Amino acid sequence: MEQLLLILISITFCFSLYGFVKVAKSKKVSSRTWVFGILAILLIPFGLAWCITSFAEREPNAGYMGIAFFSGLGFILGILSYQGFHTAKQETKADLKAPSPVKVLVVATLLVVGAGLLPLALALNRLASITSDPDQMISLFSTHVVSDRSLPFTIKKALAYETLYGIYPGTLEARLMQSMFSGVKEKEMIRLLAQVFPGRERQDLLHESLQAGYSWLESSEPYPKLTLTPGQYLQKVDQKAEFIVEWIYQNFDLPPMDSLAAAQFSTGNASNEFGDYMVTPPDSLKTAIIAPAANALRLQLSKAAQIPSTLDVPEELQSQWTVEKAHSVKKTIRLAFGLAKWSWLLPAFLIILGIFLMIRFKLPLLPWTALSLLILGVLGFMITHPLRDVDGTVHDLVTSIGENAPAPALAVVFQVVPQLLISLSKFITPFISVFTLAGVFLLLYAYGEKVIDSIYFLVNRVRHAIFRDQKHAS
Amino acid sequence: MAATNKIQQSRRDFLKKSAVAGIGTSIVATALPPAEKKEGIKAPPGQKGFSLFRKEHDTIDEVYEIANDYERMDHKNIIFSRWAWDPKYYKPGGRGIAFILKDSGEVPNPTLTEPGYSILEHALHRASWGSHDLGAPFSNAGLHNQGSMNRWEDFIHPHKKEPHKFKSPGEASKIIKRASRFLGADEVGIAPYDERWTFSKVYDVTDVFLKGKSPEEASHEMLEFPFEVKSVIAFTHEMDYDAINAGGLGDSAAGLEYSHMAEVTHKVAVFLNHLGYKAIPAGNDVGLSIPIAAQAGLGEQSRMGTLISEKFGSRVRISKVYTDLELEPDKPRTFGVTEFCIKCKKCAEHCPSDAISLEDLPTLEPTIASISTNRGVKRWYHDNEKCFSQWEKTGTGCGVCLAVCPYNKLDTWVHVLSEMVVSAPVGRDIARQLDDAFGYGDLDPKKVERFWDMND
Repeated sequence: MEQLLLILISITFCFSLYGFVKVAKSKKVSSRTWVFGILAILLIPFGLAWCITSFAEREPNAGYMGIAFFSGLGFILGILSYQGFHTAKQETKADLKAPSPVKVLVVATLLVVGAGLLPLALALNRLASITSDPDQMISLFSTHVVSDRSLPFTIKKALAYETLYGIYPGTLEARLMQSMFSGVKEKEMIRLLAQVFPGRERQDLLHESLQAGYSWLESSEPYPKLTLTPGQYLQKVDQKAEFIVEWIYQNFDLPPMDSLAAAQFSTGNASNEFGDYMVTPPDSLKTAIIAPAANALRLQLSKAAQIPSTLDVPEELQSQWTVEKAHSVKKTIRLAFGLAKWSWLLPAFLIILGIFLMIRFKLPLLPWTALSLLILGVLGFMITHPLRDVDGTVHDLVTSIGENAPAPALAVVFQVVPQLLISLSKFITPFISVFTLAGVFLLLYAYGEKVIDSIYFLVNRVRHAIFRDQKHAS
Repeated sequence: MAATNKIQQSRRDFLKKSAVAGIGTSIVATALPPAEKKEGIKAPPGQKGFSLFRKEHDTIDEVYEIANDYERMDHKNIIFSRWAWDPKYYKPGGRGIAFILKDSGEVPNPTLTEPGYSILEHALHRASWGSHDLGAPFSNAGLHNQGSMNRWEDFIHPHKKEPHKFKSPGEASKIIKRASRFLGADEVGIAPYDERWTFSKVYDVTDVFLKGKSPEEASHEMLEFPFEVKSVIAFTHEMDYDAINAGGLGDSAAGLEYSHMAEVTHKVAVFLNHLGYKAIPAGNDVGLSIPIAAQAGLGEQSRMGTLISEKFGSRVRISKVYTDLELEPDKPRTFGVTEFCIKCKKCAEHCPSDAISLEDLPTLEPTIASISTNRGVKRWYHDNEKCFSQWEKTGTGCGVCLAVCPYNKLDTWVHVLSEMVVSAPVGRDIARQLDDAFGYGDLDPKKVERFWDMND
C-alpha cells in the first residue's frame, strides 16, 4: 500500500510539474514565481511521501511533522508563486477585482487563532472556578484520595510511581519491603490504616489543611495559619506496635528465619534490630516473637524519627520564605486564578476583530461567519481531545512530570485529575457542539440552493438512467 | 511529416551512438585492470551498502585511544556477576537480588499496574528469553560454557579429521559470512583475535545460585581457550523496532535477540565443526562484545556505551564465535557516531537513572563509573550500578537509551536522506533538535497499546 501511494504521489508530482511548466511558460511569469512554484511542487509531495513512510514506520508524529514542515513550507511557497501568477494576470486583466490574499490570510489567521484559543480559555475558566472553590476541592480530595475506598489505591499508585521515578532505596531490605508493601490486599491496608490513621482523622486533617490554604489566599496574612500534630501519629504507631508486627507477619512474604537466629532467640538473646525480625519465624516462636519485635520497632522509631510532636506551619515556612516571598507567591496564585478566569477575553477579541475586518474588507459575510464557526467547532473538538481520552491524558501528565514531583503527589494527580477532566469535558462539549451545528446550519443556508440544485440534478440523472434502462428492457 | 522523420532520425542516431558508446565502454572496462576499491564507499556483504561519510581504519587503536596500562576485565566485576557476591545485590541466607525476585514474581512488583510493565509484558519477556535460557543460560550474564547450545566440549572436536582447505582467508571469510547470514545473523564481520577484550578471569555465579556455595567458595578462575584462536566472527542481531520503542517492552526485544544469539552462534559453530575447525559460540560471555564488533567493522561505540550499527543504529545485540580458522579480518569503520554523540546527549538526558555521562568529550578518566566499568579506553563512561538500579525498580531490563537514540531508525529512504544531513558537520548541530521535533524516540505509553494492537 505504501509503495502504491508513493507511486501515485510521484505520478501526481510529474503531472503537476508538467502542468506548472506549461502554464508558467504561457503566462511568462517572473523567475521568482518559477522558483517558488517548482519548490512548492517538490516540497508538498515530499512532505506527503514522508508522512506516508512515517505512518508505515508507525511514527505518526514524524508523519504530521513531515506534512507541517515540508508540505507547509511548500504550501507557503505555493501561495507566493500563486501571487506571482495573480500579479501577471492582473497586468493583463486589470478590471478583475478579487479579495487580496494578504487580507484573506489576516482574517483567516485571526479567526483560526481566536477559534483555537477559545475552547482552551473556556477550559481554563472552568478549571479556575473549580480549584478556587474550597468546598469543591475538599469534596474531591475527600472522595478520591483519603476515603477508605480510595486510600489503598492512592498508596499503591504512590509506591508504583516511587519505584518508577523516585530515588531507589539504598539497601536491599528497604527495596524488598517497598515491594512487599505494594502487594498487600486493599482490605488489609484499610485494617492497618483503621488502627494507625482512622478515616475520621484523615478527613479532619484534609479539611483543616485545605481550609487554611484558601483562607490564606483571601487574607492579608503572609503565611497560612495551620498547626499539625505529627507526633500524635507516631504515638499511635508506638501504641499499636504489636498490632503492626502481627500485621506484617500476616501480610509480608518474608524469608524463613534461619536456624541459628531461631536458636539464639530461643535462648533469650532477642535482637534489638527491627530488620532481624523481618523473617518468618518457626511456628513454635510465632507468638513469642511479637513482643520483642514490637519493642525493636519502637526502638527503631525513637532512633530514626526526627518528627516533632507539633508542627507550626507558619514557623516552618518562615525559615524557607521571607514575608515578601510569601506575599509574592500569594499574588502569583491570585493572578493565575484571575488570568484563568478572564482568559476568554483574548480569543473573543481576536474573533471580533476578525469579523470586523471581514466586514471592512468586504468579504462575503455569511459563508465566512459559517466557516469561522465551523473552524471553532472542529478546532475545539481537536484541541479538547485530551478531555475525552481521560486515561491517556492523565498518564501523559504523570509521565511528563514524573521525575519532578514526589510520588504521593503523582498518585493524587492520578486520583483527582480524571474527575477534573470529566467535569471540564461536560462543560465545554455543549459549547463546541453548538458552534459546529451553527456553522453547518449557516453554511447550508448560504449554499443551500446550490446544494439542493446539485442533489436535484444528481437524482434526476439517476432517475433518467433507471427509466432509460426500463424502457430498453420493455 | 518532415518533423516526425527528423525525430525518428535523431532517435536512430541516439540509439546508434548509445550502442557504440556502450560497446566501447565494455571493451575499455574489460581491457583495463579492475579499479581499486574506493575506501569509505563500499561495505562488506550483509552490511549497509552505501554511505557518504564512511571511513576505514587499519586497527582499532586508530579509532579509540587505549591506555598503555589497560587491564583486561575481570568477569567477577561485571554487574551481573555481582548479584552473586556483592552485598548491594545479594544477601547470603536471606532474600536477595530484587531484580530476579520481582521478575520471577516472588515479591510483588509495584509497577505491574503501569502500562508497559503489566503481566502481559512480563510474560512476553520470559517467552522471548526462552531459547537463551534453555540453550545458553547465563550467557547474558557473561558466563560461558552453560546450556545445551553453548557447551564448549561439543564444539572443540571437529566432525572432520582433515579441515577443509579454502583457497585464501578471503574466500573463507566470504563463505563464513554468507553461511552466517543464512543461519540467521543480521550483519557479520570478522575481527582478528585481540586478547585485550577477553575476560581475564571468570566468576561462576551458578556455584552460588544453583549449587548453594557461599560467594567466597565460588569458582573464580583464569579464562583459557582449549585451542589457539585465530579469528573472531562477530554478528549483530536487529531488535524489534516497535518493541524497543514501546517503553517496558525493551526487555522482550532484547530477550528475543539473546535467544537468536544463542541459536545463531550455535549453528555457526556447528558449521565450522563440519568444515573441520574448532569453534566457541559466545553471547555476552568470553569477552567484551562491543570492541570486538567495532574491530570487525560492525559499527562504532556511542555515548551510551553500546554499539551503533550503520544499518540498524542502536537497535542491535552482538554475539561472536571464536575459531581456529584463519579468516581475512574486516577493518574498523567509523561514520561520524562520536562526532554526533558529542552534540546529541539525548540518551544521557533521557536515562531514568542518570547513568550516562553528560560530558562533552570522550575521556580516559571517567567521572561516573563503578567497579563494573571497563577502564582504559577513551570513551564516554557510564555508571552500571545506576543503570542496573532501574532494572531492579521495574523487575525488567530498561533500554530507554536505545529507544531514544536518534540512530534508532528503520532503514527507509526517509532516514537515508536524514543520515546524509546528520553525517555532514553542519547537520549534526540541528539533527538532535529535528529528531525531537519530529517526535522520534518519544516514549509514549500508548506505543505499548499500539504494539499489542498491531496486525502482522
